[in-house]
Amino acid sequence: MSAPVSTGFETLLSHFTTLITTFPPPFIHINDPNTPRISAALLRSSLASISVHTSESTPRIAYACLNAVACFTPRLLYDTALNALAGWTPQWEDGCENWTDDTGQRFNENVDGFVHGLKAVHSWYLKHGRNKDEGGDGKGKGKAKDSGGIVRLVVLIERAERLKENVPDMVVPLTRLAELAQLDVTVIFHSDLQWDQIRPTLGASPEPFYMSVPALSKQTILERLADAYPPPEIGTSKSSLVDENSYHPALQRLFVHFVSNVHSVCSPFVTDPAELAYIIAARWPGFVQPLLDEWRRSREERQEELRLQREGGDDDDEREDVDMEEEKEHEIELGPPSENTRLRLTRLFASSLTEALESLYPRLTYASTWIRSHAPPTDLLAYHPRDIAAVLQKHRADNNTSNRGDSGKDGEEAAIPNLPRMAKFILVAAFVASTNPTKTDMRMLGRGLDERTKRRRKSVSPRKKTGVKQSAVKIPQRLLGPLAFPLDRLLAILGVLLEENDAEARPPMPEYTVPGEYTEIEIARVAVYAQVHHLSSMHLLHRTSPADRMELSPTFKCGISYEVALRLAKDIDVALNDMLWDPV
Amino acid sequence: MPKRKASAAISEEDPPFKRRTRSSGPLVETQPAAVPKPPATRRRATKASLENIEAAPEEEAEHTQKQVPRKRGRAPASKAAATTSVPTKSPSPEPQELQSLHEESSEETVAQPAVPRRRGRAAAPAKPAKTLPRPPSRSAAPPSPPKTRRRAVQSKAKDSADTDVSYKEESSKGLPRSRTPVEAEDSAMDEPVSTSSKVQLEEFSSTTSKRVIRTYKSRGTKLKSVGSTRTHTRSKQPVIEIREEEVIEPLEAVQEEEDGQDASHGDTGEPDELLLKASSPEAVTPPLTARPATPTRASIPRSTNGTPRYMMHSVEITTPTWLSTTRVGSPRASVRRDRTRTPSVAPVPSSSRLSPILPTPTKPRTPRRPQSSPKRPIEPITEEASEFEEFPVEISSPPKRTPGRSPAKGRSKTPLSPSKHSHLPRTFPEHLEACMEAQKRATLASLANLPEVTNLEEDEPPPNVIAQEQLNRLLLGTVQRAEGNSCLITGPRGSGKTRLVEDVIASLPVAANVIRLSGHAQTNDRLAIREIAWQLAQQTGASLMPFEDTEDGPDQDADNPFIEKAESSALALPPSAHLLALISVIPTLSRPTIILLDAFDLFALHPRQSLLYCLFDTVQHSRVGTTGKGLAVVGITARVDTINLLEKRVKSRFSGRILRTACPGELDVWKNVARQALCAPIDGEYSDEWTELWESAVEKLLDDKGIKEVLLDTFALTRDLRTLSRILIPPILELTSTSPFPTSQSFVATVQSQRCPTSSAFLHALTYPSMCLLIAATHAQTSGHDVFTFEMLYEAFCDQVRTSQSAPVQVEGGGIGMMRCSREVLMAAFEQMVSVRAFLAVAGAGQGTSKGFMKYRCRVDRKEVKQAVEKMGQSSLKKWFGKAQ
Repeated sequence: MSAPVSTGFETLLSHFTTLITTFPPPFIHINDPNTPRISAALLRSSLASISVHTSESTPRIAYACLNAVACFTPRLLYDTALNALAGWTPQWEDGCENWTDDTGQRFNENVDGFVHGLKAVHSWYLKHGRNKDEGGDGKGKGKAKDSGGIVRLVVLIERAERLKENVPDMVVPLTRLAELAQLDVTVIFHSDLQWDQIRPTLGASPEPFYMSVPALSKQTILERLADAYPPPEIGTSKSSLVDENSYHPALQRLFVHFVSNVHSVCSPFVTDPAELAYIIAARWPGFVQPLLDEWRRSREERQEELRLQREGGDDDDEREDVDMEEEKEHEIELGPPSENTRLRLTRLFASSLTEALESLYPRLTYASTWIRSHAPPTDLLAYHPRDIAAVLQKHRADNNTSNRGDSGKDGEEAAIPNLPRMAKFILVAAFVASTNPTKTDMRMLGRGLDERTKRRRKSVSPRKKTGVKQSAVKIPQRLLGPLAFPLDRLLAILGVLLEENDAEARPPMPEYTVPGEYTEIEIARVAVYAQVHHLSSMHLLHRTSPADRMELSPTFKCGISYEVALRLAKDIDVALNDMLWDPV
Repeated sequence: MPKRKASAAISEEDPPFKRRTRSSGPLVETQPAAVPKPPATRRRATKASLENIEAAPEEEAEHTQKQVPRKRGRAPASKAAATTSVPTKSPSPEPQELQSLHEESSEETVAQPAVPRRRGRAAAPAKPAKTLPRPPSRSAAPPSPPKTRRRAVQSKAKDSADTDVSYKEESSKGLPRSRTPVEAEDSAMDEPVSTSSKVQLEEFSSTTSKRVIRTYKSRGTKLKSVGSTRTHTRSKQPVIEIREEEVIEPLEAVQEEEDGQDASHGDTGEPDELLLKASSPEAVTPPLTARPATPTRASIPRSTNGTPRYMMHSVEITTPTWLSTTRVGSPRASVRRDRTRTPSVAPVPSSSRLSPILPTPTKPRTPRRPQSSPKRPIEPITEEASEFEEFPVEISSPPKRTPGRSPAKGRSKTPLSPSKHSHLPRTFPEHLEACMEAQKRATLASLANLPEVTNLEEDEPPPNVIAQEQLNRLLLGTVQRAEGNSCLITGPRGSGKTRLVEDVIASLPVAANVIRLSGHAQTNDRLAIREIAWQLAQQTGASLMPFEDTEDGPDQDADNPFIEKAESSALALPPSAHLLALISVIPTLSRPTIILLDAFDLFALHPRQSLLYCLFDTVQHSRVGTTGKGLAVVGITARVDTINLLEKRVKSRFSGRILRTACPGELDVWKNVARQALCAPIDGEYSDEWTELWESAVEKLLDDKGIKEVLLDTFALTRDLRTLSRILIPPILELTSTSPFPTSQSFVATVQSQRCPTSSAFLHALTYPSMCLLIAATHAQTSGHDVFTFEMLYEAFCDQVRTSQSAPVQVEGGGIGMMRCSREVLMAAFEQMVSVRAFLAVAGAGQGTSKGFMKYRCRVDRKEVKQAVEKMGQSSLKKWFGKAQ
């Protein structure tokens, strides 16, 4: 992997390099809330180059780049740091031994051990530097260089905010590493959080030297993105999805325009260059496809012409060679598109940029899938300008239908249409149970002959009253999340739903004469319980009571959203909004 | 900055009555005990003033007037001087004024003892208040006399550093108060606590000084009466040296009177100390009896106020144990005290500022004034003269007083800066680039290891120096005489505790085993003892460890099959069962051992404190003369009440020695450190040419008004020199060949980021969806729901988009409605906000709770949201945010 582009981070890097090569503070905190991954990569590469380019005047730099996500235990942290500082890579053949000095001590026992390890690394470097000519002893060879006898250890910890969660006891010792070890050690925390939010209590850690990475300006982002245009030799794509000429050098200027276009559409929502690059990479092949198609078509036409000419002058064999040369001369080079074409393309694909943003930024689909589903029709530019938009739209619609099966729908929605009818009833009942307060069940669902009208009327007034009384605005339950309900309540509501919406659809059962008796039987069937269990295993219902407790009725929470519930209700002809205490 | 301005304004005008009242109030309560001491300070000041006066009285007076603002810090001294001088010039107005003064002073004195630290502060303001009422008499009292002290100082040090002189005066005054090193330590301790108060004090003092001067002029007579014994003498200095002798006698008489009054104080007898003799004996022999009652007070006033020596003396005398120990520890201090009368121990920079308060000492003044008023002026002169003589020589440091004004003057006076500023070349010569790089390196190096600047403090050593002496003596005892010693070093963060210890250890003539432990790394006693064993093994070699021969490695950690192999090396530790016994063996080693316990307070939190018990017990039992070597245990901590954390049995084995360090108490120390660090010397071609340019640039930088303000602000927040270092690094890093000199703009711009970086930097680069979420969260908050879910925010967002787009208004072809945003994009933005901790999860994710229903709380303040919204500039968002009221 090539070195990351440093555009936009020059100041940070120059300061960082100057500090590290001269007299760095023992503890530095670098905060980059916007582009942490990029700056971390840059810092890594800059450390690597610093450690290589040590001259006589600067101390030898040994560095370790740790990721606090990966070093989630103290021991991992110690081992990773010491191995990296010593330039030691555990080998499977050697039993994956960690680095150790001649005494064979282990340095990962505790903080003291780690500090001893640092000292050992330091003295090992000192010794090794002088004995460089004698050759390494097999450990960490090649790292030793003469550098005036000064060895500086640099420990860069990325995602340092994770230290607080994973190895909270390590934060203070790490920040005080220099004074603990009495060595020239610099610890650098790199995080997208401020030191304030990592800082241990009681001022146990010294204040770091703060460095912060400012947000990239628009111009810088554009430059970075445009610089990503692959150079000619790499420009040919091997992917089956992308035309091999998509990154032809002739299109580079178009790419710059395209990048600024994408940026203008997406920047209100995303400013991370990596995300923008992802979107660009997904859209660009489709964007230039019409151009390439046209170029290929014109080239074929040209070849056809030539062939016809050649056939016309068939007899002149001696002219064939000349023709071949001519053919090459007349070979149409892929050139930058005209301004007019560029504008047309831009307009045609403007809407798809938003689509790309909305599906690719949240990663609803993968870029490759998206490329496939949004490939423009072939020879798009051959259509009459008036028809192009329509053609494009139609093509997209076709694509959508054909790709529906494999396109990135989340599992919940994909599974729902296939649910059995009873499962849909259960889900709707669960949604109602999770959304309505328990107290209101009688009012909302009570179907007693006398009560019905009464309750309905009454139900209006108390709601208004409560609204007046409460100081804080009441938030509808559907926004606060589902409430847990016992299974009995679910079954009761299910009974109401079935009685009102399903009773007519059932096969007649004359033996049930009492009103509601048939429904009672229905909801008492094992199949219903099995369905509930099945749904909870699909996580369309969430069981909130522990599975091993038998003494209480199990409780559940509804796992579907309002939209899904609404669709299900439509499927089974239930008026969902009528059953909700505070309808949308 | 605001504080300064306020103070300045006040000073320009007559002192604000409010302050007077405030100051007088506390003073009244506290002063009575301290009364006798303050006169001493005055006397000193008077000496200096006397000398000065002799040299060039009138001219000096003019100078003093000009300088007055600088002197704020010194205000007490200056006031005293003014008071003294006034009487000489205009005797007539004295009686009435004096009486009034006496009354006030008496009240103050009474109050002082109760409020130790504040006294100084309060006292300072109080004086000005007194002076203020006097203004009517200004005409009568010649302006020159009050200035005498200052003038004297100036006269001596005129050209060089008038301000410095004044500082020295102050400092000298402060020193006498704090005769005993212990006191100095105390003061150091106090300082950190009362940094803010100091600032206020400075302001006060500055304002007061001006006021005082005026008042002196006008009411010189009053002043005379007030400072009858000491102050008067000083003021009289200007008159003539010859008088001094005469004056001295009356002063003595007065002192005797005072002594009689303050019989209990005995040693503190003002006259002796003030004049010359007394100070040394006092310092040497602190009255043990008095100590128990007064020590705290005394220590406090010393630390806070350098000037009120009288107060200090009395207090000091009483101060029991601490003083004794400290005195023993720091011989220098006592010597210095002898010179100046007042022991230098306490002379924390802050104290010097505070010193202005001293003039208020009530007791001595009131009785003395009426009696000795005529004679006194002469006496003080003698004292002052002696002091001043010393001062001018010593005073090389820039003025310490009020940070804002004084520094500027001091700098301007300093020879380096003025002419050079203009020399900075517009175009940077190429041949100097190498020098620039070298300077960059050198400066960064000196910033990484800040130079020690102590020259500011004339003869009064800063607490760190005293502590260093004491520690040095202590460790020498261990190293050379095989004593068992223990002590505790306390001081605020960044006050140089560790550095002090390392310096002392490095300077020891005999190599010792040094074992460094840290409460942060050794979190329990077992780890600590293992580490002791490891470090001992490292430093002595395994052969020195008697345990190892007999029972080595095998049974240690026997339950861990992996450990044997690893630990069987040369550094094998004794079995864990024997670890504790190891400590008692330490004195038998061939070399003395010094054990440093960093973060000592954390060790005290270990259960049963067995490590500390063993250490202190061993220390206590190691006797001089036995065959063993010494053992010293040095605890280092920033926690003030550490001693209280010790269990009784541990505490009783601890020697109780507590050395204190302090951050620099004067902004000028900071500035000097900055200057020295920035002007780190470089070698190389053209280095002379470069150095000249560079130093002028640095001077210009430090003289810049904005930087002064920033430094003052920072100094008011923290006195940690490491902060200064951090602040100075970025401007140096930014040096390039195109801008080879640090600029005030870059400096000011970077200060904020180093001092207290805002916790919400991400707000400056928020995307539209994130901003919408923030605003929605604000709405949720205002509607009474501090806890919200994503669904709530999304609902609010959708509502707002709907309403904003319902209006079919178009501006310049575009709708003014808010942009739509898909739920998924908004969710992604929400997750981003969670990851930068703008939204904090209220409870852990319950099982089966979908992302949209997780409960969050917004960490971002409404005000910050408002700023961010306005910065973003979208009118629709502003409008939406505006609805959240």
